[in-house]
Amino acid sequence: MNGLFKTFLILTLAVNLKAQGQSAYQIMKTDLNKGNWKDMVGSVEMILINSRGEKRVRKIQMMNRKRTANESDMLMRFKYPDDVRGTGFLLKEHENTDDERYLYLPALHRIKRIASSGKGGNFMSSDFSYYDIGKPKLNDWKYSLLGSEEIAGHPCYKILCMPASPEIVDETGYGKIIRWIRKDIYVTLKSVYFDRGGQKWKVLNVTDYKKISGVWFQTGMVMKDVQNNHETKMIFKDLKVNTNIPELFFTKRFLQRGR
Amino acid sequence: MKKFTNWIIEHSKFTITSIVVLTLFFAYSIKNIKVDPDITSSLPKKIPAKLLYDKMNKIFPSRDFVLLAYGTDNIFSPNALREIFNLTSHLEKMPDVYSVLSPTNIKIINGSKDGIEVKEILKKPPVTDAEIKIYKQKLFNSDLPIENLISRDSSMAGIMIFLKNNVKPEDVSKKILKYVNQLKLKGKIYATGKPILTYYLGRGMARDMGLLFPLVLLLIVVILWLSFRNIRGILLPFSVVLSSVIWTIGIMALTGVPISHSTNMLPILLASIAVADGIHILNHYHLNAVGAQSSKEVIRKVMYELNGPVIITSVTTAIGFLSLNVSSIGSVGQLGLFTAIGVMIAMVFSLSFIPASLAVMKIPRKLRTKTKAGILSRVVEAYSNYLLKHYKIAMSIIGAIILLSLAGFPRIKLENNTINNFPKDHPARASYEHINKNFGGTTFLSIMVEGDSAGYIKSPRVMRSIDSLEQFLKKQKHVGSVMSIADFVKRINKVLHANNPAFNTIPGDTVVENGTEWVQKNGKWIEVEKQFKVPGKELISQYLQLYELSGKPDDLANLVDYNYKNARITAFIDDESSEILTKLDDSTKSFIRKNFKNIKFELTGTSELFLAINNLVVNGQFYSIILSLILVSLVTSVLFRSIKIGLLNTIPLFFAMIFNFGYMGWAGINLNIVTMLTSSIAIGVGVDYAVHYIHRFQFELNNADNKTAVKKSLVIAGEPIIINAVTVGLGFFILVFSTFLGVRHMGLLIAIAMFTSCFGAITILPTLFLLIKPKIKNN
Repeated sequence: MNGLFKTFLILTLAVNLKAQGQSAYQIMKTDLNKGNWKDMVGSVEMILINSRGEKRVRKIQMMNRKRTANESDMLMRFKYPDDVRGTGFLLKEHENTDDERYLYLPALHRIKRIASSGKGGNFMSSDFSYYDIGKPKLNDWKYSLLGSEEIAGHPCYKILCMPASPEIVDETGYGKIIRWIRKDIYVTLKSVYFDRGGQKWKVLNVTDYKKISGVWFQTGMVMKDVQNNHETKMIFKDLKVNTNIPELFFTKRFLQRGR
Repeated sequence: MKKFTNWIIEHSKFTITSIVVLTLFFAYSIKNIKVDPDITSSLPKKIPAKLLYDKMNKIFPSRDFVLLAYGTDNIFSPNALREIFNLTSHLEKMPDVYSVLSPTNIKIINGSKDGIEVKEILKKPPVTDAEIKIYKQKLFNSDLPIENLISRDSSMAGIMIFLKNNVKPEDVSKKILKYVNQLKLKGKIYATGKPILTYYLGRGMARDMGLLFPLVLLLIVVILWLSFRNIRGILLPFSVVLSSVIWTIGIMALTGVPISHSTNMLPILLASIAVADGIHILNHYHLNAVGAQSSKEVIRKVMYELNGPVIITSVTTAIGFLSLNVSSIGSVGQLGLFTAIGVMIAMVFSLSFIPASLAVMKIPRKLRTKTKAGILSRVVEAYSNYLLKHYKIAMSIIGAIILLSLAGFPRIKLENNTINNFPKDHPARASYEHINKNFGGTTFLSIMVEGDSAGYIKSPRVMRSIDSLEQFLKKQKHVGSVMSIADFVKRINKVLHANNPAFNTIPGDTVVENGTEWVQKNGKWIEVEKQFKVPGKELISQYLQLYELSGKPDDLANLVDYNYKNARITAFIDDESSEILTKLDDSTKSFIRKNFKNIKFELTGTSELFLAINNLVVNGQFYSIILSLILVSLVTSVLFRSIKIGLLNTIPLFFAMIFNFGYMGWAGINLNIVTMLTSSIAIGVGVDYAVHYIHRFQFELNNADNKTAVKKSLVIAGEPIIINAVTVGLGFFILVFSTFLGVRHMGLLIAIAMFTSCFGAITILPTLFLLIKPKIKNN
């Protein structure tokens, strides 16, 4: 009798866990796929703040489009500071090979291909990695629901993301991620990233988010590297969605010539 | 003073109890004492080298580094590279470490015609011969300064561990050494750098404290036993010694003054000095106890007689120590101040605790009947007879000693580095020498370039100046490696120009670039080659941006600040000797004066700190000798109520000092932050012997002619003078067993000074008095 009860208990627990796993996966899926956007343009202000409180400010014009379901193209043009104005950066994501990264240096009048530092490398020397700003891939992680918590007064799902394979750890440098996703609109409001040794590494706080053409976008983000005491603020402005950016905008010629 | 003595004797139990209670309180406070073995932290904040050093600290995230060297038969074997690789990645993860530079993790800049890559040299340790070959190829063709990463003969790998500025370097060093030891690596590890040396200094200090202090206490017990042969003779002066040391260290702990390379010696110095008064008092007590009945009355009489001399000698000793405060080296001043406080505390205990204790004890039966004529007094008598007959011989011997000593003066060398303080066979010194012989060097000279606005450093003119200063430094002797932001700009310039070595330069103010342009031809866009004129500043800015975009936000933080306003050039030097550092300092400054009119270059770094200490030692030495001589003669003038006597007191001191400096010159003992303490201490303590002799001579002159007075005072005062000098001298001599050469030398020098000033008091003064027949009667 006793043994039978135990078996029953274990079975129900297992089923429950499974259900919870499913639901966490569903939440993430809704979060990642909520926006049905094809392309976007806008300007970004990136503020890097070091441990002494000194700042580096960069202003960038940005275009982004989804090339395939899991790959996107991104073109960025520096507007500020003046001595790097006109510098362009073209990123073409590839699912199965290294990303292509090109830099146009106006002083050299040449485009140079930059060797990929991997998806875990720092995006434009900020605290965001290329992986953080790239299109998130749902199946890289296994999800489980840790419960509900409030962030800035909004009820959120607290979701634990564990790497689906050791390669993901190598690629991203993350041993695990905890996310807080707003329950009503499925927007991530906060993430905590842990390194492969399990130490807390980076904290993302979403400070602003807007609904643009029916899609929620995170327009203000602060990523703080708590290990190196360095942080990056990213503020998006003038976001426009689905303006049908021509494909040729994401070419080397456009990168150099601007038209 | 008589009232004080009477009060003490009447309230003896209260006096003893309150001293014991307070001593327990101070003993308890000692648990809060801080330890700071770093020699450079005692530099005054306001001197330029230190100001700059602290400023650099604010601009750049890391300044102190540990250099670990890894040696094995072949460092380019898979096993060795794996060990270096793993060691590096672990060290990078230590929380107190700012960054690590190693042959397995340096970021190299490589390029082809179309592309450029900036990335860590290895992703994982190479295994096959081919991989190792590629790795070596990359490493040795990086154009980056790797002199501290690979030894000259390629037999050792160097790992530079930069520490965060807000950590205690000695604590991190300990963690690093502990971690490396428990790895049980196949390769042999050596470690050096200022943090490691500071760590070993701290360990040596702890060892000194644990060994030398008990040793000096043991010595005191032995001397007391030989002098008095009874328990109270040992116990009373010993209690004075112990409690005055406890009070002084307790006060240091309460006022936040750390145990430093200087104050570390305080317990030994204080113990040796504090015992003297007790010896005098007990000695007199024993003499007066013969035939006496009441202990109270005996001690009352003794104290009436001795209050004066005890106060005079204590005050002059304290003044000698206090005059160390003219030195602006903080720790030296602290040693002076707190030893002076300790001497005053010991004086108060000798005047209160000892009489109070004797008042409550009974006179031992043995003492009441005992009389003795010791060997020492017979020797002194024979000596005085001889001296009176042959004082001319004595004079010529003294003259010869003075001349010989003076001849040694020019040989004295100033040397203030940390490494020379360790004995040759000490592991810290062995590692230091091994590493500095084979790598670029671990002492560093930092040259800060201070700009007036953000982006200043990116200007071609400034960048070229940085580069030319770097090239100049590279050519200097003992400079093994130089690092600056210019290395990166040149390398990127070269890589972006198809690795053409002609471009391994800083771009000019305006540059002609062969770029491309997109043109439409027959309805198609094609790329054509074209020449452009470009401002060099834009080129440099974009190079640096390119590097930034490929790395982490703080990659260049140790070379240039966040907004490219300030930069620094770091030259690594393989020797710490003052001579070499001075030469480098002079030639660098004159190169800067000659070549860079409008750019602000400022020198700092460990090398500059050592030089700054040197200057302070010279000045401090000079002024503290002058000051202590003036103060000592002033105090004795006041107490003897005669300027003449005040000046006479200093004569044996001059002799002792001349002999000491001569000895330093001939024996090759360097003048440094520790040995500089000798003179003032020797003056303060050594004057006691002259005081005793002159005091007695004055007394004898009242009822005898000059010659008789000279002899009588010599016979009577000679014995206690010698006992006193031997006790104090031997106490200081204990320092000879220190870990550190500087402290050993100082112990030896003060011990010598005790014997020479004692010799001066009982040879030069009598001889002089025979010649000049001074009229210094005292009624």
